[in-house]
Amino acid sequence: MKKLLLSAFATVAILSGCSTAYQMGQTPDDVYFSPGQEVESYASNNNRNNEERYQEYVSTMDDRYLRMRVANRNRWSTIDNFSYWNDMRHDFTPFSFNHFNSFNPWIQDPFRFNLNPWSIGFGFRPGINAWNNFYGGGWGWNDGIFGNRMGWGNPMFSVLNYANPKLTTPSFNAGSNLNALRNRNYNNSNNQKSGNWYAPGGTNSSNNFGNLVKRVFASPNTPGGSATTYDRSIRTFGNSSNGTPPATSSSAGGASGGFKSTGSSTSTGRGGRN
Amino acid sequence: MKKYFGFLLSGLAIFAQTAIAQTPEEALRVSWFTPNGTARNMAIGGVMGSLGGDITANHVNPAGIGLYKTRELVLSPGFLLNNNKFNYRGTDSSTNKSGLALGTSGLVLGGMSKSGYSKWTSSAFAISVNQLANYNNQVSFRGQNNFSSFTEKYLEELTRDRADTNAALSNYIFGSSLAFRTFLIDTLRGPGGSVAGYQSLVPISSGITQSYNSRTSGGFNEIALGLAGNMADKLYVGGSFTIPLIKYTRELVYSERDITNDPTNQFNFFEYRETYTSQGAGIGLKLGTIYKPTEFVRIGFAFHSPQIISMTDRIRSSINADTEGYAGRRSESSDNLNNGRAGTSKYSMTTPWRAIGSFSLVFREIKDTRLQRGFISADIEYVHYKGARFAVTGENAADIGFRDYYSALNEAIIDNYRGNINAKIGGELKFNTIMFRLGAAYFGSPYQDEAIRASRMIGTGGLGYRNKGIFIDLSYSHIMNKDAVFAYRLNDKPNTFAEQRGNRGNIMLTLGFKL
Repeated sequence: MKKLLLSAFATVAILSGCSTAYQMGQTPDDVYFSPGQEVESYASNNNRNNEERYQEYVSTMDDRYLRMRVANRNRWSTIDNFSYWNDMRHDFTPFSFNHFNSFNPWIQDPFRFNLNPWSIGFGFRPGINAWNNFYGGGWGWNDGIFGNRMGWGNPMFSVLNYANPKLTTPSFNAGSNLNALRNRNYNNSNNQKSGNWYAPGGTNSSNNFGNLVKRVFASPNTPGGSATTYDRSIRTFGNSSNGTPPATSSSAGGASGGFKSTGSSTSTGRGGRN
Repeated sequence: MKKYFGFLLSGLAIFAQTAIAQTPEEALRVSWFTPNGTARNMAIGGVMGSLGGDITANHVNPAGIGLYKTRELVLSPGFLLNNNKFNYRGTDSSTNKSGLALGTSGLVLGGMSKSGYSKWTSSAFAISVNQLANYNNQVSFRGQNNFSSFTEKYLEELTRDRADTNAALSNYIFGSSLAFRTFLIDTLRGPGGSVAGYQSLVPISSGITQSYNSRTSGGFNEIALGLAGNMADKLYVGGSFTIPLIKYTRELVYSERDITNDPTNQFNFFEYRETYTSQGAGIGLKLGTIYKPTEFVRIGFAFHSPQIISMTDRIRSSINADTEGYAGRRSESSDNLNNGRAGTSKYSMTTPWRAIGSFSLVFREIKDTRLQRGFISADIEYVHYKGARFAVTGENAADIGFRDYYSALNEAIIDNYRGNINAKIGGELKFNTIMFRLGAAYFGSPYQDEAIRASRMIGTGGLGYRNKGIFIDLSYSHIMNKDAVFAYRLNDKPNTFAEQRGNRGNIMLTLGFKL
C-alpha cells in the first residue's frame, strides 16, 4: 500500500506539472455533459474536407488510369488486379489509419474514418494492441467491438454459462461442524442459581442438557473439608440399536482439523498425565 | 490412556496436506460490503446505476462509462477508522482500528465516432482498480459464560465422527487434536474401560471468562476493463470484464479462563491461536445499460455475474492449556504436527450475482458548466447472498469426501442466507466549480434468521472542485454496522454470539486529471 501511495503521489506530481487540454476554459463534467475533445472536433472538420478532396482525387486518378489503359492496354492492365488489392493479408489494421492520408487510391482502406480516439496524441496504442489477443476481437473502434460483435464464442465469455452447482444431501460420515450452522436456538445470558453460576437447565437441579454434562466432585483442599463440585461438558457416542456401544474409527477427520487433515509426522502420542 | 498410549502411532507419518476451514461467513466477506468508489461516488451514497460519467461506473454499471467523450485519469487514496462496540452475554467492549483504503483509480478514454456509417455516437474504454471491501478491522469481545464452552465443538466433532483416540490425536491437527493433546479435552470412560465419548476439562457451570480477539487485514480488490458505447446520446450500453483479487488475513486469539480461581477444579485457562490467510483471483462480468427517455432523466440497469474465484487458504493453529492437577500446562501446535507447514486448502468460490435498477434526474445536461445545477439519483440493488457456492478443486476434486463437505457447506449457505436489497440515494448541488454532495444508503441483512439483527446504514457527504482540467473530491462516509459474531457454534445446545454495533468512518480523496 505504501508503494501504491508513493507511486500515486509521484503520478500526481507529474500530471500536475503537465498542462492539460483544459487549462483554459471550462473543465467538462461528464456526469452532466461530455463535450468530446476539442482536438477531435477540429480533426473532424478537417476530415470532412479531406473526404471531399479524397473523393475528388480518386475520381481524378481513376480517370487518369482509364485514359492510360486505353492508350496502352498491355502495360496498364497488369496493375488492375482486384483480388490483389483486396487481399486481406495486406496492411489494413486499424493502426494504419494514417496511410489513408497518403491518398493512395489503390488501398481500399476499410477504416476510412479517422475516429480512433487512441490515435490522437496519446501514445496508448501499443498497450491496446497488446490486448488484442486477450479479447480475441481486436480493439479497432467500430469495427472490432460493436460492428462485428466481437468476443461471443470466445472462451473468456464462458463465465456467462454459470449455473449453480448441483446440490446433494450430504451423506458423509467424516464430520464437520457445519450442521451447527442450522442450530438457531440462542442463549445470550447467564443463568444464576443461589447466587452461584449455574449452567445447564433452569433453577431446578435437573436440567435440559443432562446428557451433555457430567458432575465432577473434586477432592477437598484440606482433610475433612467439603468437596467442591463442578460440571464438565461431555459428548458420548450415540448408542446403536442393539444397545452395544458402536465401534469408533481411526479414519475419522473433521472440520476443525481440516477434512482429512491427518498429521503427526514429528510427534507421536501426547504423553501421559502427570 | 494413562501412559503413552499414543505411542502406538509412532509408525504413522502422514503429512497434513489439506485443511478445510471455509465457512459461510467467507461468502459474506465477498458480497456484503458497503459503497465504494471515487470520493464523488461515495459522497452521494454510492449511487452509480444510472448516473454515469464517473469512473466508478466501470465497477457498478459499465454503461456509465459510455457518457465519456473525454479522457481522464483518476486516483483515489482513502483512510478508514473502525469503531466497534460489542455486547457479549451482557458485557460491553469496544475496539478501534484504522487503515488505508483505495477508491476507484484508473483511466477513462472516451472518444467521438466520426463515421456516418456507425450507429454509435461515441465510445469509451476504462481500466480501473477498486477496493470493494476493506478487511482492516479488529473484532474483540469478552464476557462470562456458564452455559457453553468453545471446547464443546471439539467434543461434538469427535463424537460425531466416532473418532477413537488415535484419530483424536492425529486427524484434527488444527483443532480437536490440539485440544486432545493438551488434555483440554479427554476421553470419557465407559463400561469396562471403553471410550464412551469425550469430555472437556472446562468447568462450565461455575463460569468462565471467554475472550475473542481477531485482527483482520487485506481487501477485496477488483480490476475492471470496461467498454461502453453511446447511441445518439440516448442509449448507453456497456460491459466490463473484472478480475477480483482477494487477500484476507486473520490473527485470532481466543481464550477461556476459570473465574473461580479454584486450583482444585482442574482448569485454569486455555488459549487458542490461529493464523488464517485466504487469497485468490478470479473472473467476472458486469453488464449494464442506461437510457435517457427525455432530457434530465436517466434510467439504468446493471447485472453483475457471479465471480468465479480460485482460492488458496492457509491455516496454522495452536493451543496452550493449563488443566492444573489434571495434566498441568501443555501446549501443542499444528506446526509441530505438520513439519512446520501450514494446512492448505485449494477451492473455488462463486460469489453471489447482483442486479441494480436506478433512476436519476440531472439538471442540466448542458455543455456550459456554469449552468449545470446538480443531480439526484437512487439505486436499488438486489444481492443473491444465498447464491454463493464453494467447490473443491485440484487433486481432491475426485474425492467423494471433499465433495460431500463442500455440498454441506453450500447447503449451509442456502439455509442461512437469503437475497436482500440495498438501497442508495444521493445528490449533488453544483455551483460552477464547487460542488456539495449528500447521500445515504441502507444495506439489508443477508441472514435468514431474524434473531440475528444485521444491517448497515450509511450517511455520506462531500465536496468537489473542478477547474483547469483538474478535479479534487473529498468525501466522508459514516457506516453504522449491526452484525453478530459467533466465536463458536454448537449442534446440540443453544448458540451464543456477540452483538456488534459501532461504525466505520471512511475518508476518501479523489484527484482527477482531464487529459
